[in-house]
Amino acid sequence: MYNIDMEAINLEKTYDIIVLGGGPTAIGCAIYAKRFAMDVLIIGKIFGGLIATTHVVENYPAISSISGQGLMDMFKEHMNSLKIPYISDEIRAIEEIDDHFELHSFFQNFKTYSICIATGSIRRKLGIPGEDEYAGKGVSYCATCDGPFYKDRVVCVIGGSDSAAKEALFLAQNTSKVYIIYRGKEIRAEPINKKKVYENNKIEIIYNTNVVEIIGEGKVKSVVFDSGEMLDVDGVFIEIGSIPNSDIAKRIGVEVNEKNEIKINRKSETNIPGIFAAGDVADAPFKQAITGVAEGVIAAYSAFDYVKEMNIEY
Amino acid sequence: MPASYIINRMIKEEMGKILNPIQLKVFIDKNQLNTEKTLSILNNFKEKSNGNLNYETISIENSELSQKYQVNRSPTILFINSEGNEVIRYLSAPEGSEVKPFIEALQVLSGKKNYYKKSINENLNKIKSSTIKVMVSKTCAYCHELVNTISQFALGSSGKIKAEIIDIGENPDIGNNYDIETVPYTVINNQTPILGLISPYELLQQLINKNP
Repeated sequence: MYNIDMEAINLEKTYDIIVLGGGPTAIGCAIYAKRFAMDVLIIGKIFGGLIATTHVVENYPAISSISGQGLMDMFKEHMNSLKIPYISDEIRAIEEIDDHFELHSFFQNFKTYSICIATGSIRRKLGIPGEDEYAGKGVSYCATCDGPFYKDRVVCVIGGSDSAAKEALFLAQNTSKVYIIYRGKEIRAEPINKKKVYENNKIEIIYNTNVVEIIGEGKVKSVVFDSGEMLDVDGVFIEIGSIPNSDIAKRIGVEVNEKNEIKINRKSETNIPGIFAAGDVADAPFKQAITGVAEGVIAAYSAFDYVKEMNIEY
Repeated sequence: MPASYIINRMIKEEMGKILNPIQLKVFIDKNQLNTEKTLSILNNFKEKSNGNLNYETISIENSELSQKYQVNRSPTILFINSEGNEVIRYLSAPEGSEVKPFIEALQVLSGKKNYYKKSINENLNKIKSSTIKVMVSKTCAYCHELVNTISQFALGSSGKIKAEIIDIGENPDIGNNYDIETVPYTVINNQTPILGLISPYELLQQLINKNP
């Protein structure tokens, strides 16, 4: 399942490409690298990435509707059929040594001629009083994980993106009431999801409102708006976008933009030869599973060219 | 192609990687409704293991064995290592996202190399005997990663670390007891809970720091 098959992992050899990440971008990259006959290894912290937390995916071409986990099971099956090894671990340092890179985790060290950084993003926090205090006690960043705890209770989703709309729709299946609290004038969900939200009589949208504090007694009791008003809720689901997971790249000198996204060109190349990047961690303006996969595939092709230029025999 | 077909095919492929015969101990209460489901799930794994997975059913009323392994609820599934030590305990049969780390643990129990074993052994003298309880749910997208890490740590520690995997949908009383509103929810030696996913490195540090 995880394929941490130590027999298939050779710690002495220098891989052609090591892909960092566990989401669709990383796996798309690895599948193409394998098909280019490259020695490939994936090292990911969370298999599935953020999309695995999505209760329904309806915009991945050729699959009309599937859960995020279901989609990643299909990716996994494809990866297994090509015998691509996956390690559940976190790379903490990268060194450039002569013609290759050395990657260090706490548990093992790895060598590779090229790297694709597809480490995705992590959920953005609100940064308001009560958020950390009540994390896991009413404050959540994952509706599919924690939604079932709020059966027949009142919750709110903070955010106005497509992801926020989908979280609200998922939560509405079991809760008694879902408030979407959004700072803007109209939620930014895809029209198909916006329509579902508008038609769901358990969901109510509160516009032009910021939550400035989460208060409770041991557990979340209510949220405080910037108007000073309060709303009683049992759960607060925060869905206000994500932050690129680019720290490992920055430490080796990979250039990032003002949002900490890795700068890449149309070949998914970074400023450092041999290091490629793709998906949510990179600087594309529109981030979707399908666009991440496409960037990952391009990264594999560019890495193939890069390694070939080094005259390395496959 | 339906998702269930793909999952079944993956289960078959992964169960085929069990290298040597292994046996689980399964404590059941025949009068309980979930017993049939538990055995059906385990039989599905067994049928796909080329004869390498077996399990011994033990009535929870067997006071000698229940006492020996400190089992007080049905079902309880125990992974026993080659030295006879309990290393992993499941308080329900694995379903949904719980299946992946369960099979990975079976593979390592049967002799497949353990990625974390070297580091665990190097740090074993800094860790006192620990029980790690991890509360999960079938729909949790992150839990399987942590369950896998904890299970592999337990398997690599020669019984010094015990893992206890608790689906709180199947064991709501335990969830209520801990007043859980998020998963994964991890408790090491009944100390302060760790909420959410932590990396293998962070888990190892927790084991070392919480057991000076």
